[in-house]
Amino acid sequence: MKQPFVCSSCRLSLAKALKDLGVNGSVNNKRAYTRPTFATKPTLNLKHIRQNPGLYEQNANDRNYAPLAKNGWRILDLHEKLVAQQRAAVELRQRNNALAKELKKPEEARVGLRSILLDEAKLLKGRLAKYEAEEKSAQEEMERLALELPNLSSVHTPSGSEPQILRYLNGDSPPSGKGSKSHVDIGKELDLLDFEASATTSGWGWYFLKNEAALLEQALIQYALSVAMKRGWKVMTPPSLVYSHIASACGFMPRDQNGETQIYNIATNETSAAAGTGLVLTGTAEIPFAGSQANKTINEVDLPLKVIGPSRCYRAEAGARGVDTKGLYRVHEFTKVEMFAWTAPPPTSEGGLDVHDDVRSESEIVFDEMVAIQEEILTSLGLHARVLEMPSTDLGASASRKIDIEAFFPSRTGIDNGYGEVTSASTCTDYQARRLNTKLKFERGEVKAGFVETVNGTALAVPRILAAVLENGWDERRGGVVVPRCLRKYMPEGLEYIGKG
Amino acid sequence: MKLPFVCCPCRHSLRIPTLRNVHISRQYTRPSFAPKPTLNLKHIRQNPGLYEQNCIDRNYAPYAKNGWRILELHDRLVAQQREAVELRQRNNVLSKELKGGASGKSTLVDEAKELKGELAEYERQERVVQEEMEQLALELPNLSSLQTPTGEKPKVVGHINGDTPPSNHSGKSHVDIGRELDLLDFEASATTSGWGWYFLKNEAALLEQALVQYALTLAMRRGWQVMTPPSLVYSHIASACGFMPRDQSGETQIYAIGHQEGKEQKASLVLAGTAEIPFAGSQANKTLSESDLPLKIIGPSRCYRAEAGARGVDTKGLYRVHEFTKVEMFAWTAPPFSSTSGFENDEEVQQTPSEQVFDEMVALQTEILTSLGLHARILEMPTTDLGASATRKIDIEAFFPSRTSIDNGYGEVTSASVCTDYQARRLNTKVRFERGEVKSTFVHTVNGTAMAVPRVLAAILENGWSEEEGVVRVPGVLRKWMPGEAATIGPRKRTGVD
Repeated sequence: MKQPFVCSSCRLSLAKALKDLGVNGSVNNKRAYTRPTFATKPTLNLKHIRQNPGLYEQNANDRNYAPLAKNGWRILDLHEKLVAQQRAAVELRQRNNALAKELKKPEEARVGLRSILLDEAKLLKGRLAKYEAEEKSAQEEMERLALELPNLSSVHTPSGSEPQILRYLNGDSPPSGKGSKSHVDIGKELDLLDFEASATTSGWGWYFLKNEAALLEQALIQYALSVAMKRGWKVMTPPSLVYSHIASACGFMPRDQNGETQIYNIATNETSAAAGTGLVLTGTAEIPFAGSQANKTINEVDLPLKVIGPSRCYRAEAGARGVDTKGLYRVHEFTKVEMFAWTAPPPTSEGGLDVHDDVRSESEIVFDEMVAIQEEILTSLGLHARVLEMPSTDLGASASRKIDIEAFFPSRTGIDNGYGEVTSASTCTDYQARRLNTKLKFERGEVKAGFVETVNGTALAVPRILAAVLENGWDERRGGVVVPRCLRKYMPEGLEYIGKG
Repeated sequence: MKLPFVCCPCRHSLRIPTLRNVHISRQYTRPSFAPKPTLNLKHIRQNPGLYEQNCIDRNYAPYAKNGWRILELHDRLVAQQREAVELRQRNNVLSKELKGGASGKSTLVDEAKELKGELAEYERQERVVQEEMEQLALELPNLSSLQTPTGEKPKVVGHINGDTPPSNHSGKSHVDIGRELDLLDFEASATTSGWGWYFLKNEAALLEQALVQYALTLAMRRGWQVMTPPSLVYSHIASACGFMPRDQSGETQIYAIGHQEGKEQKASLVLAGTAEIPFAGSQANKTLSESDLPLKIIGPSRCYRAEAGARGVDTKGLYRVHEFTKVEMFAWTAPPFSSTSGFENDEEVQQTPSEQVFDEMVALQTEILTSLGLHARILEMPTTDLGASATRKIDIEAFFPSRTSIDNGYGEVTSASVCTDYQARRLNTKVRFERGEVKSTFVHTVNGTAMAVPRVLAAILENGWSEEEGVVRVPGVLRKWMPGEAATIGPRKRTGVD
């Protein structure tokens, strides 16, 4: 059968797709975005992986990243092959140099015919070129395998899928007598939420906030910023659109470990996509914040650098629709105030994992501060909640440790006893810093520079907090919502109560 | 020269438009659940010359003949319908005869079958012609108001804070001020996102919050209701509001969301460049009571604009950006009493409801800019500036000390537009009332910027900058939202301790 004609641009894109079939012919589930030439070049701790392949295997299994569990072993393999090849190449180079010397000598002093020597030199050159190509390919493969691996887990992190309850806020058990009216119904009665209109304009997962609910959103943002600013955090408002490689470097892949799409990307032309300059909508300000220090070297004296800022966040939430068919509990777009920090790594760490004493590292101190801010905000809002140490399966790619706080939603007592996540805090050690090339300059004995560590946490994610405030503040007798005290000064005329009309 | 071979998939993706007499389709594909537009084809047929002139005035020349073509198609349609009537009459006669058990039945049956086929073809053609007329009508921009100057020159109709630009300024650009006072970071955003983005830092981030709060406060005092919309909308909603994938210069202004693999998607989504779009869409396929009108809302949203082809001089800074926060006003009003086209206002002395709300929007914009201490000029925009949906537009341009070489330093900070029933007809938003014989008709819509943060922020920084003191004076009305109600923004201490 005659082959169909394939024009050159199709041929190019086809060749690229073929290249994605890995060295041993297995299909590479390519999860990373194409990295454009101007992107940061990751510097991974391959040595640590080679020295602890079993640790990385166990970690991958603990985190539900089983397909990647053997990556450490494969890196070790490739490294050993590489070392052997480099030795062989050294011998060839020595022979090549010897040949060159011989060829330079006058004819009488030479050993062997010129033509034969030239032939051998040509042959050697070819073999050396082949070695160099294989070396490059092996190094790229090792880097790719290492990039796929999730961060190692902290000693605080329980293995498996069960979180550990650390403590409660505002009482040890859910408040009684709250009724179970959902925020959706409250929103309809008090003309605060419109899901019909958003279904028309945008589809499922969007919403209009109306009247006092829109004002509460503004009040919540102002309040969250003020709590952090009092503790010295700097305010910074980031973009919501970033290059896809920046999102990827932070640990946000186009598909998560369940194969679900979580990120919206901006439609672009083929040239842009091939060059890797496509943009994505960020699901959290963590991404542009982390990216803001890419390829930068920070002075130790400037650390810890702590910023907080509001941004519009977008999440595809594919596969997550389930029970949450309506309401603010699971939405595609929302305002979130996020905390982000860059800290100096602990003194002796190479992989950032050496445990020592009771002295907290700088990132642990900042992590604890973030959780304290989250607890202050939720406590002041009068919401009952529980603080959880999250297990390894919940950590995703970049986090080494994660604490979630779940508030109580009176309308959801049938699901997880009514508790739903409202904040999260993660410490990422040097996972993001290595991929974004964010370093710090310091003087510590012989080491002059190293990678920073990054920490991030939700100060306030508006929809769920708003839903919790509406449900918990609902006064059945009066038919309205009591506004939390800490928010009243941010509402017009210090509004204390949202009633009908 | 021999053309390079382009294989089928490439040809498809290149989508080379064949530019002959065929118009380039600028609309998005309309999904089945989208609102169905109801255009005033009768008015177009009766005034093709008016629509032609209007297109030329607005720089929509490729569509100038649309009205004439609609007229043509309509005439053809009427003729076809007459022919079809004859066929139907014959068909009725036949079926009577067939029922009556006449002789020569088989020939009658054959004739009936043939007629049925012909009628089906007529109906199909009729549908095609209707769709064509609708498509042609959809492409036409709104007609222009009496106040709108024809051509390209706006008319200055007023000033704010003095008749001429202030002279006591250093001309320092907000980019430099932002660097000195650690308020703006364009380097970081170039790394994360490319040109056209920015990080606001410290007091600049807080000023953004303050500006939003201030604009909402003023509008609420005047009875506007607050509503916060989505930023992602269906593309057909954007299109119905007059925001096409390519504007009349052929530039792409809208960011589209890429197809989500493996996810069932009802229709394509885009990032809204203004809250006008989700606001207008919120009342699609709805019928409002006359007592609900005018319905006036205001709300903040994150806006996204591709600004293709617009980079030019504005290579840095907040003047032209891809993403920003904007507080937008939107209103639905009853149409003027006697109008069927919305344009027979000559005999009316009173303002129409939409004109009233329009004036109120401009008054609010004026109040905001006045109290921020910015010198500005108010412009009645000309026909070439109106775009697709507006019948009338007023822009306010504030003075930017760093841009005196471009347009004397004036740059647009707000806009207000009346869209009559352009959007309402496309979104099927109606009003129900009792007015003589008319029971329901399309509303009018009006929209305006209450606060577009980046440019106002840039104007505040540049106008408030004091070269001797090295600080920016914060406008009095914003101080309550700044830490310690500070009156100035000064340089940051550069130590690790704060």
